[in-house]
Amino acid sequence: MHIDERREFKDIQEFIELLESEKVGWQIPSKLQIIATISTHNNFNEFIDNLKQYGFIIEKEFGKLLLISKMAHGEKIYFYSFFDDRNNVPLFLTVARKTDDIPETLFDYIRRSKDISNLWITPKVMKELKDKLIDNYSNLMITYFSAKRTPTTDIPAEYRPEVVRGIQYRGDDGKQALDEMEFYYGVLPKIIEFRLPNGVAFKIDNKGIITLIQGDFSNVFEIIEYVVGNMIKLRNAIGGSSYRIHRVGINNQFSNVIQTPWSVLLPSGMKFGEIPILRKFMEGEEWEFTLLEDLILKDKMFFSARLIDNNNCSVFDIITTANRVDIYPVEQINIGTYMRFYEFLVEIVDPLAVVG
Amino acid sequence: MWGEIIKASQLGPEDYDIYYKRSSNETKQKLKKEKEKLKRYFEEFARSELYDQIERDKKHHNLVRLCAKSFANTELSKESGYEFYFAEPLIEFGSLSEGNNSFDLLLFNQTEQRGIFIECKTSIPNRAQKVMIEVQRSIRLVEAQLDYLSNIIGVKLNKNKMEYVLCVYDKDSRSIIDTILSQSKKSEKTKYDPKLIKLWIYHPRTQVIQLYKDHLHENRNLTEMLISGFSDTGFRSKFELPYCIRTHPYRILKLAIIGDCYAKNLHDNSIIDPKNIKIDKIFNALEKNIFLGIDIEKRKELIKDTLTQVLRYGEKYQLLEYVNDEEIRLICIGKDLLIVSHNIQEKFCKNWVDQKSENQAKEDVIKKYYKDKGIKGIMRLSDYGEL
Repeated sequence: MHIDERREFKDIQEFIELLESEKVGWQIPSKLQIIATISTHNNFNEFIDNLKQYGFIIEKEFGKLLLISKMAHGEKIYFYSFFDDRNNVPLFLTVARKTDDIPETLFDYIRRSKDISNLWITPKVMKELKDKLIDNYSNLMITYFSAKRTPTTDIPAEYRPEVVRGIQYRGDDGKQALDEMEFYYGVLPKIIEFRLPNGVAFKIDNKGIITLIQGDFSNVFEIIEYVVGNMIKLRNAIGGSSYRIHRVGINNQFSNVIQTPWSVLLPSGMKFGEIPILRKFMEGEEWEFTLLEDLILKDKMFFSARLIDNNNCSVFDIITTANRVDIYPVEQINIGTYMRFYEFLVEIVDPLAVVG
Repeated sequence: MWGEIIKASQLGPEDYDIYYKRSSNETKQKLKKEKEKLKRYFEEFARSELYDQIERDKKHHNLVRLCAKSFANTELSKESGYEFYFAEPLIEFGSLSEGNNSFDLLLFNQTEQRGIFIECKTSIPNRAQKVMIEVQRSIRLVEAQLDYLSNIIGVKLNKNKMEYVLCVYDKDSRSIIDTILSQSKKSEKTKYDPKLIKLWIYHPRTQVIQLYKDHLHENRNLTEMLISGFSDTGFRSKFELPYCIRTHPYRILKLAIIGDCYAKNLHDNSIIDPKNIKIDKIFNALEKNIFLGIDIEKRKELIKDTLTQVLRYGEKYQLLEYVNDEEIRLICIGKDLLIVSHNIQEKFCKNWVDQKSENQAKEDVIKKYYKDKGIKGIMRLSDYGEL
């Protein structure tokens, strides 16, 4: 993509316009990945510093648009990155391979930095997205989807609701098939590939990664806006948690640490029998938490634990009662870890979980 | 003492070892067979004992944390004026030795210059009176060290302004109340004075702490809020108290060495082998997480002693070894935090159960052997020296 060296992008709209104008003369490469993230950076400069800290080279700056690179298996992997300062959302665009180039560079950064997280799309939001797109384009096609039924879900299923299951489906009748699967097998979508009648085709997954297969960008950014809107409340709740030194005494001679939590409400509630499932899944390959120590009080539905995120050694405590989980930071707040833990609660404990 | 006559009941596993060494091959075989049989029998009991030990420690610590939590900048702390000052007050006066007791927490009201010492109990024995006597011992220690505490807090403390609390889970409250009522009826209060001890009851389901209805605190606001049951749902902050000096050494090992130092080593690119851990780093982890109200030097000394105990404990169960004076090494398979954490846990359980049941079996075999022989008093076997 050619961008005038002197050009400075001030807001996302300018960037979208550029992408749209480029589209005419520029064949959109197949498998262009748009990775939406959410951050706790307070401004663009903090974001740049963070990128540098994790080994990215700033190749070019066009206002809030950056061309960045990082080495992976002997070659430079490039990304365009736009920092949307309305909501502190960094976006990354790349044609690098999703299987190995992106995981080694961008995903590694997202996993290790405490200030940035994937834009997790909960199954509920994914379903809402799908329904919203169908409202706008009644004749859209779903050509691929992947869906799951989690062990503790309350979502009804006609067939054997007790079975944990995953479904991958490819076919032009995906829209109908997904409806049927939702109804009969009680699964919720994690990845969906859409084909819109306006020529746009893209795949979206639950980590906020959009693969543009064909056509226009505007739909993609609308979706990102929608998902970000859903995540802001969560990010603000996380931002409200703290870990701070509290001094008391005549001469302030005693110091203690006060942990203030952020909370998740579980409208469907958690049953005592579900705790072993919760523990097992927490430590599973998909979620990668280590349960360092826990305490269960039988009959009281009280569960407390100290967890470590295996990806970045971020530590946090949780206390759960039947309808609530309080998440307490230890030493520092890590947005990526917390977003993933929230996603874990939504997927494994209660699909209706909301920030409290 | 050389040649001391002891009873069979005084024999221990070490006597078995010495006796085994000097026995004939035939006796050795018999002893070993019997010991192995008994060991298998005791294994299940040992496993259950270990589980109880760890669970009791966790529950106790949880209760301590929850009591402190109620005063973590909450409405209760603001209205009553009481703040959590520090954990384990007077622990430096040998509370770790048998027969000595000290409280778990100290709350202090700076304006009124009143203190509340809290003891948390999670397993109440059949004779709840024993718990009350222990609390009375802790009270005696506070009264004896009031001047010392005054120096630490920076206020001349008045004995009459100190209050003492026993905090228990709701399920244990009945037996404590019965004991208090029965002691109150007695004219002589030699064992303990029930009027001195106030009872807090913790309801885990609702996370409410309640003062027993017949008890009163000197501070009216505190009494009123605690009688109606305090649960500050709007303000759920808590103090970070992951462990204390009296925490079970295995739990400190798991939380400080595995959960803190090893986890950080894994993500530190400058470290070649994350299983080699600097003792200084473990000390720092302990220092960061143990909140005591004593002067810096004594605190360091106490934490150093705790660290030594934890490392010795880890060595005893082959979870770690000293590389040199400055470094230890975890002995386990795998590298991932999850694998290391699970492996250490499994190894600890296995080795603890193994050692415990082995010792119990040795003791029983040697006792049985002497009883069977009809010997009423024997020389301490170790006095024979190496045979």
